[in-house]
Amino acid sequence: MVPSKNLLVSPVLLASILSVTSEQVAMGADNQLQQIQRLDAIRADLQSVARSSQPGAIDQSKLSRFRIAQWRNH
Amino acid sequence: MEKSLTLADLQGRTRLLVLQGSPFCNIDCDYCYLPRRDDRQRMHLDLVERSVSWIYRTGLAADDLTIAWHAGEPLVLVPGWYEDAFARAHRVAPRWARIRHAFQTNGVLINDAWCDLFLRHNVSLGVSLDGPASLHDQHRRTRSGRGTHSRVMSGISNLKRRCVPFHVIAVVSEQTLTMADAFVEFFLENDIHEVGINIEEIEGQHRKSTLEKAETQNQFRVFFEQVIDRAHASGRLHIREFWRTFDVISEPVLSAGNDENTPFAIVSVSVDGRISTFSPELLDQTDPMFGDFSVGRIDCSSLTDILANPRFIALNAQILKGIDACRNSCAYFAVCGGGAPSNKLGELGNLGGTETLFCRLTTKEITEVVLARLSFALSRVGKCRGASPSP
Repeated sequence: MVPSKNLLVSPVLLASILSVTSEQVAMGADNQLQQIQRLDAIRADLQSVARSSQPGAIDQSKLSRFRIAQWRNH
Repeated sequence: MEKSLTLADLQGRTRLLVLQGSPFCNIDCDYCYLPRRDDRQRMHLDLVERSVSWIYRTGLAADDLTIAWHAGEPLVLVPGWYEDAFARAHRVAPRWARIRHAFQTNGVLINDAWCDLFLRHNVSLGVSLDGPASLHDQHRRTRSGRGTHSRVMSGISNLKRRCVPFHVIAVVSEQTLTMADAFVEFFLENDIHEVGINIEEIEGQHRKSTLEKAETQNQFRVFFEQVIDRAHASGRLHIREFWRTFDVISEPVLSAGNDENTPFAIVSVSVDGRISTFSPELLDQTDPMFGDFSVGRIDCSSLTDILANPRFIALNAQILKGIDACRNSCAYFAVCGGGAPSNKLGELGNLGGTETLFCRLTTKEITEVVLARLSFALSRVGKCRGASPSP
Protein backbone atom coordinates (compact mmCIF):
# COMPACT_ATOMS: atom_id res chain seq x y z
CA MET A 1 0.00 0.00 0.00
CA VAL A 2 1.33 3.41 -0.90
CA PRO A 3 -0.53 5.79 1.39
CA SER A 4 0.83 8.97 -0.07
CA LYS A 5 2.92 10.09 -3.01
CA ASN A 6 4.23 12.85 -0.83
CA LEU A 7 8.01 12.86 -0.78
CA LEU A 8 8.01 14.14 2.78
CA VAL A 9 6.81 10.82 4.13
CA SER A 10 9.96 9.13 5.31
CA PRO A 11 9.58 5.45 6.23
CA VAL A 12 10.13 6.24 9.89
CA LEU A 13 7.51 8.94 9.96
CA LEU A 14 5.09 6.81 7.95
CA ALA A 15 5.44 3.95 10.41
CA SER A 16 4.87 6.34 13.25
CA ILE A 17 1.75 7.85 11.66
CA LEU A 18 0.27 4.44 10.96
CA SER A 19 0.78 3.29 14.52
CA VAL A 20 -0.89 6.23 16.26
CA THR A 21 -4.31 5.40 17.70
CA SER A 22 -7.16 7.65 18.72
CA GLU A 23 -6.78 6.35 22.27
CA GLN A 24 -3.18 7.57 22.41
CA VAL A 25 -4.16 10.93 21.00
CA ALA A 26 -6.99 11.27 23.52
CA MET A 27 -4.54 10.67 26.38
CA GLY A 28 -2.16 13.34 25.08
CA ALA A 29 -1.67 16.45 27.16
CA ASP A 30 -2.87 18.79 24.44
CA ASN A 31 -5.82 16.82 23.13
CA GLN A 32 -8.25 19.57 24.10
CA LEU A 33 -6.50 22.11 21.89
CA GLN A 34 -7.80 22.99 18.49
CA GLN A 35 -5.00 21.46 16.46
CA ILE A 36 -5.38 23.90 13.58
CA GLN A 37 -3.78 26.55 15.82
CA ARG A 38 -0.58 24.48 15.64
CA LEU A 39 -0.60 24.06 11.86
CA ASP A 40 2.51 26.17 11.24
CA ALA A 41 4.49 24.40 13.98
CA ILE A 42 3.50 20.98 12.67
CA ARG A 43 4.42 21.98 9.12
CA ALA A 44 7.82 23.16 10.35
CA ASP A 45 8.38 19.87 12.15
CA LEU A 46 7.47 17.94 9.03
CA GLN A 47 9.96 19.92 6.99
CA SER A 48 12.59 19.27 9.61
CA VAL A 49 11.98 15.51 9.53
CA ALA A 50 12.04 15.57 5.72
CA ARG A 51 15.35 17.43 5.64
CA SER A 52 16.93 15.00 8.07
CA SER A 53 15.82 11.97 6.05
CA GLN A 54 16.48 13.53 2.64
CA PRO A 55 19.50 15.81 2.87
CA GLY A 56 19.33 18.65 0.38
CA ALA A 57 16.41 20.69 -0.77
CA ILE A 58 13.11 19.07 -1.63
CA ASP A 59 12.63 19.33 -5.39
CA GLN A 60 9.39 21.26 -5.71
CA SER A 61 9.08 20.44 -9.41
CA LYS A 62 9.05 16.75 -8.56
CA LEU A 63 6.36 17.34 -5.99
CA SER A 64 4.24 19.33 -8.40
CA ARG A 65 4.12 16.37 -10.80
CA PHE A 66 1.89 14.67 -8.29
CA ARG A 67 -0.57 17.53 -8.37
CA ILE A 68 -3.85 16.15 -9.64
CA ALA A 69 -7.28 17.68 -9.90
CA GLN A 70 -9.02 17.52 -6.55
CA TRP A 71 -12.68 16.67 -6.81
CA ARG A 72 -14.29 14.28 -4.42
CA ASN A 73 -16.63 12.68 -6.93
CA HIS A 74 -14.11 10.93 -9.10
CA MET B 1 -6.19 36.47 -5.45
CA GLU B 2 -7.45 36.87 -9.01
CA LYS B 3 -9.46 40.00 -9.70
CA SER B 4 -9.18 40.21 -13.45
CA LEU B 5 -8.37 37.07 -15.38
CA THR B 6 -6.39 37.11 -18.58
CA LEU B 7 -5.85 34.38 -21.15
CA ALA B 8 -2.24 34.12 -20.02
CA ASP B 9 -3.35 33.38 -16.45
CA LEU B 10 -5.30 30.40 -17.64
CA GLN B 11 -2.73 28.59 -19.75
CA GLY B 12 -2.39 25.00 -18.63
CA ARG B 13 -4.79 25.50 -15.73
CA THR B 14 -7.39 22.80 -16.49
CA ARG B 15 -6.53 19.44 -15.00
CA LEU B 16 -10.02 17.99 -15.06
CA LEU B 17 -12.47 17.99 -17.97
CA VAL B 18 -15.87 16.61 -17.02
CA LEU B 19 -17.89 15.36 -19.97
CA GLN B 20 -21.55 14.46 -19.48
CA GLY B 21 -21.84 11.46 -21.79
CA SER B 22 -25.44 11.16 -20.64
CA PRO B 23 -27.41 12.71 -17.77
CA PHE B 24 -29.32 9.43 -17.38
CA CYS B 25 -28.84 7.11 -14.42
CA ASN B 26 -30.12 3.56 -14.26
CA ILE B 27 -30.66 3.71 -10.50
CA ASP B 28 -32.22 6.27 -8.17
CA CYS B 29 -30.13 6.99 -5.05
CA ASP B 30 -32.08 9.10 -2.58
CA TYR B 31 -29.17 11.46 -1.90
CA CYS B 32 -28.24 12.14 -5.53
CA TYR B 33 -27.70 15.79 -6.49
CA LEU B 34 -28.26 15.33 -10.21
CA PRO B 35 -31.54 16.80 -11.50
CA ARG B 36 -31.85 15.07 -14.89
CA ARG B 37 -31.44 11.40 -14.08
CA ASP B 38 -34.39 10.43 -16.31
CA ASP B 39 -33.01 12.18 -19.37
CA ARG B 40 -31.68 9.59 -21.84
CA GLN B 41 -29.85 11.97 -24.17
CA ARG B 42 -26.34 10.99 -25.11
CA MET B 43 -23.51 13.24 -26.16
CA HIS B 44 -22.82 13.28 -29.90
CA LEU B 45 -19.38 11.97 -30.68
CA ASP B 46 -18.74 15.13 -32.68
CA LEU B 47 -19.31 17.08 -29.49
CA VAL B 48 -16.79 14.91 -27.64
CA GLU B 49 -14.26 15.73 -30.33
CA ARG B 50 -15.07 19.43 -30.29
CA SER B 51 -14.88 19.59 -26.48
CA VAL B 52 -11.44 18.03 -26.35
CA SER B 53 -10.30 20.17 -29.26
CA TRP B 54 -11.62 23.27 -27.46
CA ILE B 55 -9.79 22.55 -24.21
CA TYR B 56 -6.48 22.30 -26.08
CA ARG B 57 -7.12 25.07 -28.60
CA THR B 58 -7.81 27.53 -25.79
CA GLY B 59 -4.56 26.58 -24.07
CA LEU B 60 -6.46 25.62 -20.94
CA ALA B 61 -5.40 21.98 -20.78
CA ALA B 62 -2.64 21.03 -18.37
CA ASP B 63 0.06 18.63 -19.51
CA ASP B 64 -1.75 15.91 -17.61
CA LEU B 65 -5.48 16.07 -18.23
CA THR B 66 -8.08 13.80 -16.68
CA ILE B 67 -11.33 13.40 -18.60
CA ALA B 68 -14.04 12.32 -16.17
CA TRP B 69 -17.19 10.93 -17.75
CA HIS B 70 -19.68 12.10 -15.19
CA ALA B 71 -22.95 13.90 -14.33
CA GLY B 72 -24.97 10.76 -15.03
CA GLU B 73 -24.11 7.06 -14.84
CA PRO B 74 -21.30 6.62 -17.40
CA LEU B 75 -21.96 2.93 -17.99
CA VAL B 76 -25.45 3.48 -19.42
CA LEU B 77 -23.59 4.07 -22.67
CA VAL B 78 -21.99 1.03 -24.28
CA PRO B 79 -18.25 0.25 -24.31
CA GLY B 80 -18.14 0.73 -28.10
CA TRP B 81 -19.33 4.30 -27.67
CA TYR B 82 -16.37 5.02 -25.43
CA GLU B 83 -13.98 3.32 -27.84
CA ASP B 84 -15.11 5.82 -30.45
CA ALA B 85 -15.12 8.71 -28.00
CA PHE B 86 -11.62 7.98 -26.70
CA ALA B 87 -10.29 7.60 -30.24
CA ARG B 88 -11.77 10.93 -31.28
CA ALA B 89 -10.45 12.64 -28.16
CA HIS B 90 -6.94 11.42 -28.76
CA ARG B 91 -7.12 12.26 -32.45
CA VAL B 92 -7.69 15.96 -31.79
CA ALA B 93 -5.36 16.26 -28.79
CA PRO B 94 -1.80 17.45 -29.46
CA ARG B 95 0.94 14.85 -29.48
CA TRP B 96 2.35 16.04 -26.16
CA ALA B 97 -0.99 15.61 -24.40
CA ARG B 98 -1.28 13.07 -21.61
CA ILE B 99 -4.93 12.17 -21.15
CA ARG B 100 -6.36 9.77 -18.63
CA HIS B 101 -10.01 8.78 -18.69
CA ALA B 102 -11.91 8.38 -15.41
CA PHE B 103 -15.26 6.82 -14.56
CA GLN B 104 -17.15 6.90 -11.29
CA THR B 105 -19.82 4.24 -11.67
CA ASN B 106 -22.60 2.76 -9.57
CA GLY B 107 -21.12 -0.57 -10.61
CA VAL B 108 -24.26 -2.53 -11.42
CA LEU B 109 -23.51 -2.86 -15.16
CA ILE B 110 -19.84 -3.93 -14.97
CA ASN B 111 -19.25 -7.00 -17.13
CA ASP B 112 -16.36 -8.41 -19.17
CA ALA B 113 -16.88 -5.96 -22.01
CA TRP B 114 -16.46 -3.07 -19.59
CA CYS B 115 -13.42 -4.72 -18.01
CA ASP B 116 -11.88 -4.98 -21.49
CA LEU B 117 -12.37 -1.25 -22.00
CA PHE B 118 -11.01 -0.33 -18.56
CA LEU B 119 -7.90 -2.43 -19.06
CA ARG B 120 -7.28 -1.46 -22.68
CA HIS B 121 -7.37 2.25 -21.84
CA ASN B 122 -6.03 2.21 -18.28
CA VAL B 123 -9.20 3.90 -17.10
CA SER B 124 -9.15 5.37 -13.59
CA LEU B 125 -12.15 3.60 -12.11
CA GLY B 126 -14.18 4.36 -9.02
CA VAL B 127 -17.16 2.35 -7.82
CA SER B 128 -19.81 3.89 -5.59
CA LEU B 129 -20.37 1.52 -2.68
CA ASP B 130 -21.51 2.62 0.76
CA GLY B 131 -20.27 -0.40 2.73
CA PRO B 132 -22.30 -3.45 3.75
CA ALA B 133 -25.76 -4.02 2.28
CA SER B 134 -27.47 -2.77 5.43
CA LEU B 135 -25.98 0.67 4.78
CA HIS B 136 -25.75 0.70 1.00
CA ASP B 137 -29.31 -0.45 0.29
CA GLN B 138 -30.77 2.24 2.54
CA HIS B 139 -29.99 4.81 -0.12
CA ARG B 140 -28.68 3.26 -3.34
CA ARG B 141 -31.80 1.75 -4.87
CA THR B 142 -33.43 1.14 -8.22
CA ARG B 143 -36.42 3.18 -9.33
CA SER B 144 -38.65 0.36 -8.08
CA GLY B 145 -37.04 0.67 -4.63
CA ARG B 146 -34.84 -2.42 -4.64
CA GLY B 147 -31.36 -2.29 -3.14
CA THR B 148 -28.45 -2.49 -5.56
CA HIS B 149 -25.78 -3.92 -3.26
CA SER B 150 -25.75 -7.46 -4.64
CA ARG B 151 -25.49 -6.20 -8.21
CA VAL B 152 -22.63 -3.86 -7.32
CA MET B 153 -20.76 -6.70 -5.61
CA SER B 154 -21.28 -8.81 -8.71
CA GLY B 155 -19.72 -6.02 -10.78
CA ILE B 156 -16.82 -5.80 -8.33
CA SER B 157 -16.32 -9.56 -8.61
CA ASN B 158 -15.89 -9.07 -12.34
CA LEU B 159 -13.31 -6.34 -11.76
CA LYS B 160 -11.35 -8.56 -9.39
CA ARG B 161 -11.52 -11.59 -11.67
CA ARG B 162 -10.11 -9.48 -14.48
CA CYS B 163 -7.59 -7.69 -12.24
CA VAL B 164 -9.00 -4.24 -13.04
CA PRO B 165 -7.67 -1.67 -10.53
CA PHE B 166 -10.40 0.36 -8.87
CA HIS B 167 -11.17 2.41 -5.81
CA VAL B 168 -14.43 2.91 -3.94
CA ILE B 169 -16.22 6.09 -2.95
CA ALA B 170 -18.56 5.56 -0.01
CA VAL B 171 -21.19 8.09 1.03
CA VAL B 172 -21.53 8.37 4.79
CA SER B 173 -24.98 9.06 6.21
CA GLU B 174 -26.24 9.22 9.81
CA GLN B 175 -26.56 5.47 10.17
CA THR B 176 -22.98 4.90 8.98
CA LEU B 177 -21.65 6.90 11.92
CA THR B 178 -22.77 4.20 14.34
CA MET B 179 -21.24 1.38 12.30
CA ALA B 180 -17.59 2.31 11.88
CA ASP B 181 -16.31 -1.20 12.57
CA ALA B 182 -18.76 -2.88 10.19
CA PHE B 183 -17.99 -0.23 7.58
CA VAL B 184 -14.24 -0.88 7.66
CA GLU B 185 -14.49 -4.64 8.07
CA PHE B 186 -16.68 -4.83 4.99
CA PHE B 187 -13.99 -3.31 2.80
CA LEU B 188 -11.25 -5.40 4.37
CA GLU B 189 -13.22 -8.63 4.00
CA ASN B 190 -13.83 -7.85 0.34
CA ASP B 191 -10.21 -6.95 -0.40
CA ILE B 192 -11.06 -3.38 -1.27
CA HIS B 193 -8.01 -1.30 -0.47
CA GLU B 194 -8.75 2.28 -1.50
CA VAL B 195 -11.79 4.08 -0.12
CA GLY B 196 -12.84 7.70 -0.44
CA ILE B 197 -15.30 8.95 2.15
CA ASN B 198 -17.91 11.43 0.98
CA ILE B 199 -20.68 12.71 3.18
CA GLU B 200 -24.38 12.90 2.42
CA GLU B 201 -24.36 16.46 1.16
CA ILE B 202 -27.06 19.08 0.78
CA GLU B 203 -26.62 19.85 -2.86
CA GLY B 204 -28.58 20.15 -6.07
CA GLN B 205 -31.75 18.11 -5.89
CA HIS B 206 -30.95 16.77 -2.42
CA ARG B 207 -32.20 19.43 -0.06
CA LYS B 208 -31.71 17.80 3.36
CA SER B 209 -29.06 15.56 4.89
CA THR B 210 -29.33 13.06 7.73
CA LEU B 211 -26.06 14.57 8.99
CA GLU B 212 -27.51 18.01 9.76
CA LYS B 213 -28.18 17.43 13.47
CA ALA B 214 -26.06 19.39 15.94
CA GLU B 215 -24.53 16.29 17.55
CA THR B 216 -23.41 14.92 14.19
CA GLN B 217 -20.15 16.85 14.08
CA ASN B 218 -18.71 15.07 17.09
CA GLN B 219 -20.13 11.73 15.96
CA PHE B 220 -18.47 12.16 12.59
CA ARG B 221 -15.12 12.84 14.22
CA VAL B 222 -15.39 9.72 16.39
CA PHE B 223 -16.42 7.70 13.33
CA PHE B 224 -13.48 8.97 11.30
CA GLU B 225 -11.04 8.26 14.14
CA GLN B 226 -12.38 4.71 14.43
CA VAL B 227 -12.10 4.21 10.68
CA ILE B 228 -8.49 5.43 10.65
CA ASP B 229 -7.57 3.33 13.70
CA ARG B 230 -8.83 0.19 12.03
CA ALA B 231 -7.58 1.04 8.53
CA HIS B 232 -4.05 1.77 9.73
CA ALA B 233 -3.96 -1.24 12.04
CA SER B 234 -4.86 -3.42 9.07
CA GLY B 235 -2.01 -2.07 6.98
CA ARG B 236 -4.05 -2.56 3.84
CA LEU B 237 -6.74 0.10 3.66
CA HIS B 238 -6.05 3.54 2.22
CA ILE B 239 -8.55 6.19 3.29
CA ARG B 240 -8.36 8.97 0.71
CA GLU B 241 -9.41 11.79 3.04
CA PHE B 242 -6.70 11.06 5.58
CA TRP B 243 -3.86 11.09 3.05
CA ARG B 244 -5.14 14.00 1.00
CA THR B 245 -5.36 16.07 4.15
CA PHE B 246 -1.92 14.89 5.17
CA ASP B 247 -0.60 16.07 1.80
CA VAL B 248 -2.20 19.49 2.22
CA ILE B 249 -0.72 19.87 5.68
CA SER B 250 2.73 18.64 4.91
CA GLU B 251 3.38 19.98 1.45
CA PRO B 252 1.11 22.77 0.21
CA VAL B 253 2.50 22.59 -3.33
CA LEU B 254 0.71 19.27 -3.72
CA SER B 255 -2.65 20.86 -3.29
CA ALA B 256 -2.22 24.59 -3.47
CA GLY B 257 -5.57 26.30 -3.92
CA ASN B 258 -8.93 24.68 -4.32
CA ASP B 259 -9.88 23.38 -7.75
CA GLU B 260 -13.60 23.81 -7.15
CA ASN B 261 -13.36 27.55 -6.57
CA THR B 262 -10.56 28.26 -9.07
CA PRO B 263 -11.89 29.29 -12.48
CA PHE B 264 -11.11 26.72 -15.18
CA ALA B 265 -9.17 24.34 -12.95
CA ILE B 266 -12.16 22.15 -13.73
CA VAL B 267 -14.21 22.54 -16.92
CA SER B 268 -17.51 20.72 -17.39
CA VAL B 269 -19.36 20.21 -20.66
CA SER B 270 -23.02 19.17 -20.62
CA VAL B 271 -24.55 16.60 -22.95
CA ASP B 272 -25.70 19.43 -25.21
CA GLY B 273 -22.46 21.39 -25.26
CA ARG B 274 -22.87 23.98 -22.51
CA ILE B 275 -19.66 24.90 -20.71
CA SER B 276 -19.39 25.48 -16.98
CA THR B 277 -16.53 25.73 -14.53
CA PHE B 278 -15.94 25.66 -10.76
CA SER B 279 -17.72 22.77 -8.97
CA PRO B 280 -18.88 20.23 -11.57
CA GLU B 281 -22.04 19.76 -9.49
CA LEU B 282 -23.16 23.21 -10.67
CA LEU B 283 -23.72 21.78 -14.13
CA ASP B 284 -27.49 21.43 -14.53
CA GLN B 285 -28.33 23.30 -11.32
CA THR B 286 -30.47 26.40 -11.67
CA ASP B 287 -30.36 29.69 -9.84
CA PRO B 288 -32.21 33.01 -10.22
CA MET B 289 -28.95 34.93 -10.69
CA PHE B 290 -26.80 32.42 -12.53
CA GLY B 291 -29.34 30.47 -14.59
CA ASP B 292 -27.97 27.03 -15.41
CA PHE B 293 -24.40 28.08 -14.54
CA SER B 294 -23.25 27.70 -18.12
CA VAL B 295 -20.79 30.35 -19.23
CA GLY B 296 -20.51 29.47 -22.90
CA ARG B 297 -21.02 26.81 -25.54
CA ILE B 298 -18.46 24.52 -27.10
CA ASP B 299 -19.69 25.24 -30.62
CA CYS B 300 -19.52 29.04 -30.46
CA SER B 301 -17.66 30.41 -27.44
CA SER B 302 -14.02 31.34 -27.29
CA LEU B 303 -12.27 31.68 -23.96
CA THR B 304 -12.19 35.42 -24.54
CA ASP B 305 -15.98 35.37 -24.96
CA ILE B 306 -16.36 33.53 -21.67
CA LEU B 307 -14.10 35.89 -19.75
CA ALA B 308 -16.27 38.77 -20.99
CA ASN B 309 -19.55 36.97 -20.31
CA PRO B 310 -21.46 38.89 -17.58
CA ARG B 311 -22.62 35.62 -16.04
CA PHE B 312 -19.05 34.35 -15.70
CA ILE B 313 -17.89 37.68 -14.29
CA ALA B 314 -20.70 37.71 -11.72
CA LEU B 315 -20.16 34.06 -10.83
CA ASN B 316 -16.43 34.54 -10.37
CA ALA B 317 -17.00 37.68 -8.29
CA GLN B 318 -19.44 35.91 -5.98
CA ILE B 319 -17.11 32.97 -5.53
CA LEU B 320 -14.20 35.32 -4.80
CA LYS B 321 -16.39 37.07 -2.24
CA GLY B 322 -16.98 33.73 -0.57
CA ILE B 323 -13.28 32.88 -0.61
CA ASP B 324 -12.45 36.24 0.96
CA ALA B 325 -15.07 35.72 3.65
CA CYS B 326 -13.60 32.29 4.43
CA ARG B 327 -10.07 33.71 4.50
CA ASN B 328 -11.13 36.40 6.96
CA SER B 329 -13.13 34.20 9.28
CA CYS B 330 -11.83 30.65 9.33
CA ALA B 331 -8.67 29.15 10.81
CA TYR B 332 -8.91 26.27 8.38
CA PHE B 333 -8.54 28.43 5.28
CA ALA B 334 -4.91 27.36 4.95
CA VAL B 335 -5.96 23.77 4.37
CA CYS B 336 -9.20 24.44 2.49
CA GLY B 337 -8.76 27.44 0.25
CA GLY B 338 -12.27 28.75 0.63
CA GLY B 339 -14.75 25.91 0.27
CA ALA B 340 -16.80 24.35 -2.49
CA PRO B 341 -19.19 26.65 -4.39
CA SER B 342 -21.72 23.88 -4.96
CA ASN B 343 -22.02 23.22 -1.23
CA LYS B 344 -22.28 26.91 -0.41
CA LEU B 345 -25.05 27.24 -2.94
CA GLY B 346 -26.84 24.11 -1.74
CA GLU B 347 -26.64 24.94 1.95
CA LEU B 348 -26.50 28.72 2.15
CA GLY B 349 -28.36 29.62 -1.03
CA ASN B 350 -25.48 31.76 -2.26
CA LEU B 351 -21.86 31.51 -3.28
CA GLY B 352 -20.58 34.34 -1.10
CA GLY B 353 -21.08 32.67 2.27
CA THR B 354 -18.71 30.70 4.42
CA GLU B 355 -19.25 27.71 6.66
CA THR B 356 -21.19 24.68 5.52
CA LEU B 357 -21.99 21.26 6.93
CA PHE B 358 -19.74 19.92 4.20
CA CYS B 359 -16.73 21.92 5.39
CA ARG B 360 -17.42 21.34 9.09
CA LEU B 361 -17.21 17.60 8.58
CA THR B 362 -14.88 17.03 5.66
CA THR B 363 -12.42 19.86 6.27
CA LYS B 364 -12.50 20.84 9.93
CA GLU B 365 -13.07 17.51 11.64
CA ILE B 366 -10.80 15.54 9.34
CA THR B 367 -8.05 18.14 9.62
CA GLU B 368 -8.25 17.96 13.40
CA VAL B 369 -7.91 14.17 13.34
CA VAL B 370 -4.96 14.24 10.95
CA LEU B 371 -3.15 17.06 12.77
CA ALA B 372 -3.56 15.36 16.13
CA ARG B 373 -2.07 12.13 14.82
CA LEU B 374 0.66 13.90 12.96
CA SER B 375 1.64 15.88 16.05
CA PHE B 376 1.78 12.68 18.08
CA ALA B 377 3.75 10.83 15.40
CA LEU B 378 6.24 13.68 15.03
CA SER B 379 6.93 13.78 18.73
CA ARG B 380 7.73 10.08 18.64
CA VAL B 381 9.96 10.45 15.59
CA GLY B 382 11.71 13.29 17.34
CA LYS B 383 12.44 10.98 20.25
CA CYS B 384 13.67 8.27 17.88
CA ARG B 385 16.06 10.74 16.28
CA GLY B 386 17.26 11.89 19.63
CA ALA B 387 15.76 15.32 19.18
CA SER B 388 13.30 17.08 21.39
CA PRO B 389 9.66 16.09 20.94
CA SER B 390 7.58 18.55 18.98
CA PRO B 391 5.90 21.21 21.12
